Amino acid sequence: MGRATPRLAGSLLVGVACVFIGAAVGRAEPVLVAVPFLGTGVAALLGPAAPRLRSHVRLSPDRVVEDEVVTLTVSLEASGRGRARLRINAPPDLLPLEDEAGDEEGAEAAVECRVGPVPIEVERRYRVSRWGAVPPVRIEFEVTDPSGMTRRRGSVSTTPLRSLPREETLRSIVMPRSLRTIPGLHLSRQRGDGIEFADTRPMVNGDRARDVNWRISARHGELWVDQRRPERSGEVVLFLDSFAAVGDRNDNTLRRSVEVAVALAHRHGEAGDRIGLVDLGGVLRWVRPADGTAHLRRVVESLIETELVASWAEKTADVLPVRALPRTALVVALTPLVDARAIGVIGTLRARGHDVAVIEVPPDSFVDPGPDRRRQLAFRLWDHDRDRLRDDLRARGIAVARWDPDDPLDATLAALGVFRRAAERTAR
Amino acid sequence: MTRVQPVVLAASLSVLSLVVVLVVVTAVAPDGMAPIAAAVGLGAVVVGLIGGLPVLVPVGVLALVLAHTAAVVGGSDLVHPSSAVVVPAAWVGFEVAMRSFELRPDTRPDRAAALDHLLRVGVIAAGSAAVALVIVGVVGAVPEGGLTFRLVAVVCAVVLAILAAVLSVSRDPSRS
Repeated sequence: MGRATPRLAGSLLVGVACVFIGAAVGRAEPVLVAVPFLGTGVAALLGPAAPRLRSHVRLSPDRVVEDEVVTLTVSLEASGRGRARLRINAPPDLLPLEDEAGDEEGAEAAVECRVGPVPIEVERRYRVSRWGAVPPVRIEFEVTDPSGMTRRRGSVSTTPLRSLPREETLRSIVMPRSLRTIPGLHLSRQRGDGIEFADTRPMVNGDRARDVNWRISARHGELWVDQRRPERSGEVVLFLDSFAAVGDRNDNTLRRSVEVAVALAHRHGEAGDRIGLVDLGGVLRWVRPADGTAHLRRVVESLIETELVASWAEKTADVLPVRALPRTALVVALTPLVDARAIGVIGTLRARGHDVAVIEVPPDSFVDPGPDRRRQLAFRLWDHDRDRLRDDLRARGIAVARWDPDDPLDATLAALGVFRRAAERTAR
Repeated sequence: MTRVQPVVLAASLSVLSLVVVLVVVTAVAPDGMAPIAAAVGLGAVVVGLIGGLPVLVPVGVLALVLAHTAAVVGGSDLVHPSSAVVVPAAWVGFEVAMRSFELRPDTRPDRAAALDHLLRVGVIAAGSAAVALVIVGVVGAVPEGGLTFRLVAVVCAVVLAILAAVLSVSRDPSRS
């Protein structure tokens, strides 16, 4: 037996009270009024109770890209006939869409429907407004008997949804200085088997006949062979600075850093690189470098779970696990350059001989100095201080490039490449 | 064109039914406290509907019933003919007002479920009105105060209760 609804309780209350009033004044009219109230109340108590409801809820697909549409399907099957009222509590990250007929009512969060032994389905479509781990959709339902006098309540939730950021298609890539012997897409500076022409030299014992360059051989009167640059893969560790973020919940430097990191992870994954992740902030998380599609998926999922955890604990490079940062790996740091601890760790990594590049996700656009002259002066001083910081990092051999969200990320990567090649030439 | 929300429609129908009760009470006893009590009862229901307080609805309906009883208590008839209007109107007002709470907030009712409920309410209200009319006629025909009168009154009340119960379950689709 389900619980009484307010309607049943009210019916019985009014009916009994009317009978008492009639008995008190000795008139039949209140008793007559009581009759339909008591009649429906007693019939509800004696009749079938609210049926039990079996519900199944799912969001499809369970992995989406930001701004894509997901469909929520609620399947309802009751042990008997009755009415069900559903209240769909979708998180704010899911924006309801109108139904396929263009009816705006399709977006409403509450719906009433008849249920019975034959399963019915209620569908709602939502647009995923932001990437990240989307909280589950909770559906609260109340099932009543056909007369609406008794009810049962319950709730069911979907599994959490993972929404990936929109992926920017990259052409450029930051090449690690040290490459593995495993084939990839980076042109090695060494000579070997490959497609890219590098140089020619006189043939020596052991050279293959198919490498002979007949034009040059004819000119020199002896055999010369072509030398080629092999394509190799490397190791890349994405270093995410989650100590601090500037901006609001929907757009901040940390979210932008993650978007860049996801794009880089996919690009390096295409190049056959082993990819690792170090997320250093209030909490330390890491993923050891590896390759493969499953690993790339693991890295991306770790990235979208990144959260800002406030911490004032002093953290240095010593807290980083050695296995997460192989000596030969290229460390691409994604940072707004606002927290001294992250800047210190980047400097320490470079001092220890790591190949480090920094993509700065600038916080300037989130800071408005306003019309106040003192605030404007402070803003300019802060800007100069950041310029000095960049110069300081570059002086240590760390490539630093700013990424403006309005510009393609390729331009930032190209700027990093220019600095790194220049630094390499200088080092030689 | 602006569409009327189901909750507003149900609340309006409820208030309309209870206004009928108020009008009947005022017509039966224009002077005295009865119309004031009825107005207070109607006001309680309206406040409950606007404020989302279901507990005020039975309180308001009881006030209306009390007002009607006060209006007819001085009369010579044991069952005043106005009961034939007050009985279904009070019940419909209560039933639809409580139903309007179920439609909050912004529930989109299934058309079939809403029609089913309206039909059920209409059938029970019409049945109640018809039986009340019969009782008014039967009780009026029997000499007042005797044993026969009391027996007829009890039998009529029992018959009316059984009829209301039968009507309320006869629309149950699970039994059809």
